[in-house]
Amino acid sequence: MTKFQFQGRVVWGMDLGFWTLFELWALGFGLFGILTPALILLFTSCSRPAPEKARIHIVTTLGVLADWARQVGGDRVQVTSLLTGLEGEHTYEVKPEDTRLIARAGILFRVGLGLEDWLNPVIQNAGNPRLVIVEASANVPTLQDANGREHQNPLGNPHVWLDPKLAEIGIENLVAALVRVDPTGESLYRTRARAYSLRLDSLTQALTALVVELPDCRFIAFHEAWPYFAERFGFQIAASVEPVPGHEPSAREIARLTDLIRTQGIRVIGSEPQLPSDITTMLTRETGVRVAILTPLTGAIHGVDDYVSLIRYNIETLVSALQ
Amino acid sequence: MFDLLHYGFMQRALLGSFLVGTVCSFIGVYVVLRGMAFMGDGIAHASFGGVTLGFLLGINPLFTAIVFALGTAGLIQFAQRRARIRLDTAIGIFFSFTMALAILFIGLMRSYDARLYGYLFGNVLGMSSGNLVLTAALAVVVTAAIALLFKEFKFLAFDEEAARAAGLPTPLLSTLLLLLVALTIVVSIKAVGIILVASLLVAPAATAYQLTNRFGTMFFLSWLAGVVSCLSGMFISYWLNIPSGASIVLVATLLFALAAVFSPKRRPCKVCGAEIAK
Repeated sequence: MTKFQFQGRVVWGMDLGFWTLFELWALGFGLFGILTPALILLFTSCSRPAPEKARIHIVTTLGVLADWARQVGGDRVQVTSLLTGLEGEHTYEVKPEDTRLIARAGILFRVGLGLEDWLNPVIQNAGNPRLVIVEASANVPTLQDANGREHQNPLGNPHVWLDPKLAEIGIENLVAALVRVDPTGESLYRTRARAYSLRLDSLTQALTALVVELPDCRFIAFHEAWPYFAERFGFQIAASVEPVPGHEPSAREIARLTDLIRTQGIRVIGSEPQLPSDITTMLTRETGVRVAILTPLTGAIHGVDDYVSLIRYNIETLVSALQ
Repeated sequence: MFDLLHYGFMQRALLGSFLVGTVCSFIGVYVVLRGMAFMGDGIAHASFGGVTLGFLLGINPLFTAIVFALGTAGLIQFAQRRARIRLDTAIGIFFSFTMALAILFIGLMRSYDARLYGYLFGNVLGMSSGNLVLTAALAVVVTAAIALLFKEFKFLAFDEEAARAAGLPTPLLSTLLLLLVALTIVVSIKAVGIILVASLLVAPAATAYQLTNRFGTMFFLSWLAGVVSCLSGMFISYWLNIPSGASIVLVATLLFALAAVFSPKRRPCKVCGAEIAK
């Protein structure tokens, strides 16, 4: 700290002459910038409760898979999901705790088909040689994207969980793994899985009946999450706003969507809470098309926290928008 | 060929980029003459900190961007004047400080929001009527300030010491100019994004400076370069299906290159052939 030979007071190397209001405010702003991280760090440090012993620890990527695991496993399993539902399944960023969870897990239940490629480095680094990896998409007949457009991953579109019939295949895969890991619980797992499958069957029947009555079942999806859903329940996807999720459409693509809505008379466009965008609001203002808030994941919308509610919510929202 | 003008979003995007091109090219004259290009880039990055805070708190990000831009401009001034820190050092420090805050705020968000990408790289297609009104209002404010203080800023730009000796309140004028630059930057974020906005401040005015020595002409040429860059950039981005921010800046840079090469200021000496730069 040097001293200067100036008129007026000098403190800590700074010339404290007349302070303008603006300079005072700028200083306040600077102090705020230093205090904010400190306060944030103080308030966000929290502790995690220790997991219970003697249950099979299942880690899933999506909340939907966690719901299935709880339905099948009951009290014999302890299930944690990596995604909370607010993050996109394609744009999720791995957190340090995820590595800890995978390291301690007995079973990792994921969708597969390249959806969770971001998890591969974590699995390698977790150092868990006894980890059993179950894929919900194993043995599932896959589709490409809507309108026959080829999906980026040559294995097919991964959003298989949105079709309850394909969900049953995923659940079967999980049951097989659980039986291998915990043979004593086999009858419990199989009974619960069967009961849940029956529930899903009656749900599918009831909801399909709603869709059949619609005069026009076409909509524009926000991203390519809905081909299996549309195929099962009888909807028709006219186009997608963001075929590559997170990548906003160009001017030409927006013009093409506008033309499609106007010339083909498409009345509904989907938006998703995991992929916020101004494009849907803009298209609404431009063409008057209705927006249906759909979600491919549980946990994003209040009250939609399990698989059955998820399917029911999406169908009911889409059906009421298409009336 | 011009059927793209039928779409409301395209009309707003063109009008918005025209306004942004205009106000950036006017303020850019002062940025170039006073060597404030690095300052402009620093303020642009600082406003990203504001944008991320706005997203984190659920407030309109342009509002928090203005707060951060003005605040950082003030802090840089404060560091330079009161703490006697060199200007580029001060900019460098606050530039990285606010970027670090931005990364912190992004880390605290529950999930990735793709609209942040739009603020970094420009999302002029998403311009709503509300955005357009705000842009127009800020453009009017900045242009009015320049018009009202034209002679004062002219003196300040060409010889600050003489201006001070002549009795002009140069610290106040400098601060005001800095505030106008900060406001212009925040207004322009929607059109070209934070990463490129400094370029839109500098390139049109630099192009004009290659072509003239007269202050008034410089404003006009700068405006011409700015508006041509923005409008043709938008058309090119539509036809080639490329991002609009990038195409605007590429056109602006091309114009600058042409101006530099064909500049009437650079002529070979008629006697010896050596280049004279006037």
